[in-house]
Amino acid sequence: MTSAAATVSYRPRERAEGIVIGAHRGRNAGGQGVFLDQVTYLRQPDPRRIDLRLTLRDPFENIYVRRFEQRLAIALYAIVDLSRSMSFEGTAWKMALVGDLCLSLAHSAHELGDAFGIIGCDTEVRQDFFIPATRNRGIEPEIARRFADFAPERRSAAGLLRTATYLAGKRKLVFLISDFRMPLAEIEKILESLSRHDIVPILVSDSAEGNELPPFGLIDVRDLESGASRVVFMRPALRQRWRAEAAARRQALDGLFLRYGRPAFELKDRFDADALSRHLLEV
Amino acid sequence: MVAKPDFLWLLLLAPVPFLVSALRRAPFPSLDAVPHDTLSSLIGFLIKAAAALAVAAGAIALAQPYRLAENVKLVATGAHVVLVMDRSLSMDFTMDDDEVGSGKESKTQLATRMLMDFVNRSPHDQFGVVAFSSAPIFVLPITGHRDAVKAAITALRRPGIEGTNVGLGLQLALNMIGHDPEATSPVVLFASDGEYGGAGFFDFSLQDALRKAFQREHAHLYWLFLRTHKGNEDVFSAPPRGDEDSPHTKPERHMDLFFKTLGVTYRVFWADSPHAIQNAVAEINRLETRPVTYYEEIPRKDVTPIFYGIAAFASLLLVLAKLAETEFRRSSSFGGQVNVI
Repeated sequence: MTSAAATVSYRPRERAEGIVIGAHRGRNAGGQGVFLDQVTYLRQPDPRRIDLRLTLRDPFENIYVRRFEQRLAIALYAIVDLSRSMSFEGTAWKMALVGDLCLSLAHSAHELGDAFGIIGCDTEVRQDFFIPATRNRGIEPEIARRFADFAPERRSAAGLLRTATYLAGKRKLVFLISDFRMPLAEIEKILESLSRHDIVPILVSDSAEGNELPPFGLIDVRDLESGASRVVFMRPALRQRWRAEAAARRQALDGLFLRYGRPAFELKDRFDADALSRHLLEV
Repeated sequence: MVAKPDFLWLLLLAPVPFLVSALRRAPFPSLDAVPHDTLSSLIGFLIKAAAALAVAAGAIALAQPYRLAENVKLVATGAHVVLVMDRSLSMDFTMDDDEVGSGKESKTQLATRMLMDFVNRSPHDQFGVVAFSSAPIFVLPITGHRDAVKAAITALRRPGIEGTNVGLGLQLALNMIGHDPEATSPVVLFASDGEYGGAGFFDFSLQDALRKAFQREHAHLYWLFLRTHKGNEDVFSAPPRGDEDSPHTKPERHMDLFFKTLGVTYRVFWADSPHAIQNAVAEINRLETRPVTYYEEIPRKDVTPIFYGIAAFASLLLVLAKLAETEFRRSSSFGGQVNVI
């Protein structure tokens, strides 16, 4: 994991704000980057960028200056659901998947000169799992260590609702990483609280939860979050119903996510950086 | 009741299966994603109930439960029959008053055979047994134990004793009835070949006592008269004119006359052939259809095997559930390590 993490390509949906020079198209017009337009010298008094050709051509004898689109750095945040449901271990261990994703995001952000931070939440925002966004590459091993050591222990992800206060200021690219097992109304509240940012929902799932159910047998299902348990007599008819219900919920979730920007990226069984890049660049 | 009550403390463990699952638990992110299914809930409850039952039945079985001995009061159609058997010497001869031999059976043998048949055909009757010769012999009080009754009847097949005293035999039978408070429909079945010149019966005080006793107990009287017709002599009808008509010359006739004055149901069955006796038995069975109450003794019974059986059955259900148990798929390639990239 400490070896070279896969790079994820990403692009914020709107122009970046700020003053730190980086890789993303910014709102500011500056002296470098892709040509943007020409304005009069009075608006942009920069003698180094005077456009002689346009200045000479102007019958009113105004002086024009070329403007360029300033490329800026942004901040990325991974908001991670650390409740006990995330300790599910089916085809893969969900926390390990999330750890890989965060490390890859950190690596990618630092390569482009962007800042990366993590906010871990269970019932509260966990202060021991809060890494403010930084361009410092040195935190990558630290992120790896935190995920390797961490075992989810609390029974709710209510802290996700309180992350907005940690994300004040400029628009950020926020990866909301959860299995989204809470009620849809609660998910909507979370999305609403983060709506000024560019939200990328990452739905952590596992094929053992839905598709690869056993065709027959008794399962004593224990809810990782509440600890309650229920016996399920699995049979083909029930399996079909189970899948149908899962598909219906998935559809409802997608509808919700689309209202707040992007559909969810499904982090299923294994982390595929290329797939995430395609997903992020498509929309 | 239980033999070892200390083991009943183990019953406290019975609710444990409702708290702890017998199945291996499969962790899942959220029960909300699990469809609600009535059959599954039912099976889940059954498994817990079976486990609790197995524990409870096992604990009770260890305590070695038994059912208490008890007296069960039963009501049936039948009668309380006291068999009064003549054991006089004359009963050891055949019906024709011959020596026993060459395929002919004695009156005693015939009578016991018939009585045995009667006992076998009346499943709800209670029987007492009295024998008499010169004096009455108390053989068996009124009881519903068939084996005891049959044994008593078999025991009557001993060689006879001198003398016939019908009155004392009947008196003992009536006493037996009087001492049994359950004997609500008493019957005296009296098997005799009559008096051969016997006296003793016609003591007036005895006659008086018998009459009172019969009326007090409302006992029906049946006389199985074991004698063949001899020529045209009829022991019950009046003698030809001129002959003496007294208890000494015609004792059977006078006994019959006395019984008719008792004021209770009375019948004579003339057993001049084996068939006649069978008909008599059938007739008595037909007549005696009053309801009787009797007690049946049910001995203490160890019911431990039943509880072991219940525990085994419940455990079998659990084993079946365990065999049907499965889990969500788990990849063998995943070793719990974090490095998946």
